Amino acid sequence: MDGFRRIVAMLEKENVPCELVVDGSYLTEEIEPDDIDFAVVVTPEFYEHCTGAQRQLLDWIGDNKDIPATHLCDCYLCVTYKEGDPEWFEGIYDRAWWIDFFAESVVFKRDRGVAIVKIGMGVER
Amino acid sequence: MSQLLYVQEKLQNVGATIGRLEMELARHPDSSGLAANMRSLRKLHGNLSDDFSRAANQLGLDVLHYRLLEDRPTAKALSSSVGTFQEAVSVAYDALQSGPKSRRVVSPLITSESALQVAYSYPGSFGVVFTVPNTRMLIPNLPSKLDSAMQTVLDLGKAHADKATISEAERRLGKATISAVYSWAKANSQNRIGTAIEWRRSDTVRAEVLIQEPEFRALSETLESIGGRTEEKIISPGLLVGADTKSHRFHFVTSKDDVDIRGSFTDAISESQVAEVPRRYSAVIQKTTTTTYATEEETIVYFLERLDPL
Repeated sequence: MDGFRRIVAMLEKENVPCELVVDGSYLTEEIEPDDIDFAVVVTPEFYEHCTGAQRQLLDWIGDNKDIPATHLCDCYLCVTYKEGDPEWFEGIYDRAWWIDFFAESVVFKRDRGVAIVKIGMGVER
Repeated sequence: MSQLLYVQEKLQNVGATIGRLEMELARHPDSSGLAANMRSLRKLHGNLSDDFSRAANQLGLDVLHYRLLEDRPTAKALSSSVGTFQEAVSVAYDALQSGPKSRRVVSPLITSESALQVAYSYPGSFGVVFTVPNTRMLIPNLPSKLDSAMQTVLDLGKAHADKATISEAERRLGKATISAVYSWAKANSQNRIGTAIEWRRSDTVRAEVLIQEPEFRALSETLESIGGRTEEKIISPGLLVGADTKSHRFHFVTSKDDVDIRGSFTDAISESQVAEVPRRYSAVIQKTTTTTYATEEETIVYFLERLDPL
């Protein structure tokens, strides 16, 4: 959890308004419970117009492949488009995609827990 | 198995989303948000691929990544490339199990033991991932016969015009393996496609190769120009039934099994080595068999060295 907390602290420090969609399976069924999988979800308006430091942090979360080793987290970035946005398309990779990705398992035929953490969006965690 | 299927299902989902996002990104090439999403999805795909390899290893499976260096290959290019590669690996594996082979036919057991099972595909530079059961040796780095077969086929794929490598592989495994590799090279050359292949066990890459289309073309041209050659001396009694001293051609029928042998000669029959037709002789004949890897057809040539009257 420590690595996860450190990333959350970085997002808070840079004032990044976002949601974290967290795979809750680590609570009950993961082989390596220290690993936490999550996606940082931001709006396209924020991503396009954020500061250099904010963009750097978000791209680090989305692109960096060493984070599992340094923070024991598999984390990703999701710029979530709404229906009506020019970039929106059917089956888009958005917030809902991540919730489905973490929640559903065709093989296990059951839903799994997904936690949502809000940062800088009025209601904190 | 459930963990492997679970990761496989996730990979298929992510692969489909990448494919969809690629199309949208082509429509909005300046969208930094879509580009960021694509990078993150590719990272997710890479992490899941690693998870897949580890889960496969726990089940005694190795993983083969077979990537075509083409974004959207045709069904024909994909099936012929993968199909001919599978055959080359199976034939090489069979030869390593039971000795050099001249024919490409393999038993159902060999087919089953070397069969690549499709796990998932991924877009971009189009790739298919296969699993295959592979023996775990007591010494981890000691290659199994399947490892050796895979390595041999990959080495031959990079042989270009290296006749020494080809000859050595033929000596060890027989001409069937070379012929099967020729079919693989020819299929990729004809479809103008290159491949990148990675053979993995868990996190360890056991063999890998990237072969561009010109390399496949060079290899297929090399294999079309060379072939196997064996020579055998026949000493047999029989009947000389024909000889043409102008064209230097002869016709001899063996006594034992009544086989017609037609071929050429230089000085076995001449003014100083007069022969009679028809007459019984003991003939010394050189039989040369050549095979081109391209066609697998044998060409047999007979040369009359000497005739001894009986």
